[in-house]
Amino acid sequence: MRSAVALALALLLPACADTELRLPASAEGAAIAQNPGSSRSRYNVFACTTCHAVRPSEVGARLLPGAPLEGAARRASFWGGETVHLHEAVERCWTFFMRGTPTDLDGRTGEALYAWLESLSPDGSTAGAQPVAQTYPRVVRPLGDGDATRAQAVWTRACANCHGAIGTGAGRLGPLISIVPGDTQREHCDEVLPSGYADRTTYVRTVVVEKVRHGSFLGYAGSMPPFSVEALSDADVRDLTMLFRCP
Amino acid sequence: MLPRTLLSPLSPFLFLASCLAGCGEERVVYDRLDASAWGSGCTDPGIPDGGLGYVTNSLMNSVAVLDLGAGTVRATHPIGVGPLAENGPHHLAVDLARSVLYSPLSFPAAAIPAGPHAEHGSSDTPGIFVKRSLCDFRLLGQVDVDPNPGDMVLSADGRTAYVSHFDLRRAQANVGDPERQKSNLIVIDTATMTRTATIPVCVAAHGMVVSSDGRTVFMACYGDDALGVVSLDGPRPTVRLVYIGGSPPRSTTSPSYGPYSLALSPDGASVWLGCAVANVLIAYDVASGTLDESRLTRRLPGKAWFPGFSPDGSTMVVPTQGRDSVTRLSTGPGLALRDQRYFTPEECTLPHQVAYGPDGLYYLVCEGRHTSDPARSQPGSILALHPDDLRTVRSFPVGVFPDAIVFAGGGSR
Repeated sequence: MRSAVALALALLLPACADTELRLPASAEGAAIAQNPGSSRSRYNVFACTTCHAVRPSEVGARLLPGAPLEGAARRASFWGGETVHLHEAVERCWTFFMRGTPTDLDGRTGEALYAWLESLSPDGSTAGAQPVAQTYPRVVRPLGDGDATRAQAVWTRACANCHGAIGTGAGRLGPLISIVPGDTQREHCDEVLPSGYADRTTYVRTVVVEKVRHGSFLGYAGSMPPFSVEALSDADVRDLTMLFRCP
Repeated sequence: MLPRTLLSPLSPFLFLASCLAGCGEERVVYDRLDASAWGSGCTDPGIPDGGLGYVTNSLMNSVAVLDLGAGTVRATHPIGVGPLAENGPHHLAVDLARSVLYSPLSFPAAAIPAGPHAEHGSSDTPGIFVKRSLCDFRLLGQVDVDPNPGDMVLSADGRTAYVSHFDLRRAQANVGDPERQKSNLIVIDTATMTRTATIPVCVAAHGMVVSSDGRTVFMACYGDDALGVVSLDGPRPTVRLVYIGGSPPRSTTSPSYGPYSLALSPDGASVWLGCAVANVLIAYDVASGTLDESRLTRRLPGKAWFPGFSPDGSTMVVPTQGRDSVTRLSTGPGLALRDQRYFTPEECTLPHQVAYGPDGLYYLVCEGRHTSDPARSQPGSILALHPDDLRTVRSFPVGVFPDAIVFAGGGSR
């Protein structure tokens, strides 16, 4: 009996040792890109893949603020030409939207992310390598009335992914994400009406246009990425604003 | 609990089972990259024999690179770090030995100039001092400075950068409190890109130069009608203001002279202040530490901006705005007028700086017509002027609102 047990142990214990699965750095980058926790900010709700499809075929019906990532490592410029360096382009997302620490991108995290982006652009491939047109109008003006019957559809494709359901926020990415349209109307309908606006509803709808076009780059709130004209047309934004109304 | 009689024979198997339950875990190990992440940076900026000129396009967030020998614009590189905003690169400096370029970004009052939230936009947006590779313009470092950074200079050894702040808002917001009106001279260690000193100097300082020995920084103090002389030659910096009219102006927000630009003569003996309100230049004698009234120019055709000197320092070419022109003057007593050239809008709109190039030509920065709305702005240009008669030898089209030019290579100093 004892010899049988000893023999079994002798045979099984080597198999008991931990195994090591070696994966390329790009696999770690893929995991980082899908994990909002990667930025180490407790306020962050975004992963890279929240705003970017990996490949154009994966965009589906969504209207995403970020361009597909396939080919990004080969692109000559980013952010509508504001930078020509991939590191700077990624750092902008990492710090402004994901609330991450820039120096993280100089270490292991950045190394893995870069490896993953490189893997999406294998040698010889030109897919996605052309710079993506991204126009962010500096000057925002009222867009006029849109088609209210299309507002829900635009919402579903462009906004619901982060903000959840209209009116309740059900399914939104986190508690700090605004519930629309209620939060927006509550914040802006009672403001002193700036000159140049016919009425409060027009003003609030223009606030929405500005938020969509400039995202968090207004100097006062949020982590929302901006939508370029190419990502979300003026016509779509005009229809979307019909969800907003002041009493 | 199992009866003891049953437990004893099973114990080896229980031990085995417990062993197996906790073993055989798969541990994922990721490979490291062989190459440095984010690609390898280039190391050779490729300066041609004729040298390069670097020009800020302050309303396009970019720097144009001029091939002086070929007479072409070789490239235009983005330089901003603030997305969607006017980053406002105005002045710049090049350290060829380290192959880097520096520029303080001066974000305008409202980052987004129109729209319902523009009025929320902070006009106190801090500036950002950036360091970029001269080779591929990748960002090598950045550090916050005060709002409205104006001019910058590098020490001769390139280890220290000095940034002035043309902070009119601070002056207007603190009327009645002279100390709080003062803008800061910020000193930066360029290796670590950290601030090493913040020195309140004067109201809305802009143009500045550093003495050749690196011990003194001179600053044009717009609001104070004065030259600021900052001595760094001691345990603590000291500041002395030398007033152009002999005394402070009645109002620091409405000065009489408005010294804005500054230039150091080639021999380092004189500092010239260009006054944007009084349309004059006046020399400061470094040795005596006084303004030289005998070298106060007559009233020029417009606001006097940044002059350039002939290599021997005997003459200077002054750009003026109002009537757009360049005026060549001797720099000795009497300040004899040598040449004057007026420009049509097609030739040059809003001349702003003259610099003597490594190829013996004067380079004139023409701002072009610029507004906060890019759609209504027109690009500026850089004119290469012949040293004999200031005629245009060639023209470089650049971006919107070029503001300053510096050189690298081609024998540039």
